[in-house]
Amino acid sequence: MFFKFLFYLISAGIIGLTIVTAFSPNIIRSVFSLLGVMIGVACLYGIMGSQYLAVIQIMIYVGGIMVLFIFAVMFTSKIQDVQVTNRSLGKVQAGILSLAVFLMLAFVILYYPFPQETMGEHQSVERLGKVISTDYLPFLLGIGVILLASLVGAITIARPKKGED
Amino acid sequence: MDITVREMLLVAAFLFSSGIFIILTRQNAIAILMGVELLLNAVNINFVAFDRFLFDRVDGNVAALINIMLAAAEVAVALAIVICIFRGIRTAETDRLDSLRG
Repeated sequence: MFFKFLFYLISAGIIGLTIVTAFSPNIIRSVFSLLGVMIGVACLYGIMGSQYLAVIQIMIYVGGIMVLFIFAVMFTSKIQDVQVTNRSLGKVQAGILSLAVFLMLAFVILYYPFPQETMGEHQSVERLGKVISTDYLPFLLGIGVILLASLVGAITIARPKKGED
Repeated sequence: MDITVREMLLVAAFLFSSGIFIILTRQNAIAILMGVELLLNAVNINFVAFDRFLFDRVDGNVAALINIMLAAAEVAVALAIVICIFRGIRTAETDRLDSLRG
C-alpha cells in the first residue's frame, strides 16, 4: 500500500516534469526538469526492486549525461534571451501525432492479456552480477569498447582546431 | 493492492509519446537530444517492468544496462557534433543548418 502511494507520487512528478520539459520556452528550465525526470525514473527502478539499475541511472544519467547537457547548453545558447533559446514549431500536428501514439500504446497495454503476474523475488544485485559475468560477458566487453571509441571520437570532434583560439 | 505492470507501462508510454512530441517540435538540436533521452528511458522502464512483474528473470535488466551505456556514448558524440556545428555557424537551431543545400 505504501509502495502504491509512493508509485503514484513519483509518477505524478515524472509526468509533470515531462510536460515542463516539453513546453518550457527556456532551455535551461527544460534541462533541469529533464534531470528531475531522470531521478524519478531511478526511483521507479528502486520501487521495482532493481537497485543496481537505480544506482547506475543516478550515476550515468544524473551525474554524467545531464551535466554534459548543461555544459552544452551553456556553450551554445544565449540564455538571457529567453524567447529564442528553445523555440518550437508545429505544436498542433505534433501533438495530434504523439497523442495518437500514446492512445495506441495505452490501448495495447490495457487490453493485451498479460500472463499471470509472478511477483518473483527481488532482482538482486547478486543475480544480475552472475548473469552479466557469465551469459552476457561479450556484450559487456563490446559495450566497453564502444564507450571508449565514442568518448575518444567526441573529444576529437569537439576539440578546437589549431589557430582557432 | 499492489502495483500492476499496466500502470508502469502506462507511465513509460507517456514518456515515450512526450519524447516523440519534443523531437517533432523543438528547433534546438540539444532539445531534440533531450527527447531522444526520454525515449530511451521509456524503453528501459519497459524492460525492467517486464522482468519484475511477468517473468522473474534479470535479462531485461541487462538489456536496460546496455541501453544506458549506449545512451551515454550517443549523447557524448552528439553533443560534440552540436558544439562543432555551433563553432562554425554560431547557432544550434536545426532549420539554420542549410549549408549543404544546393
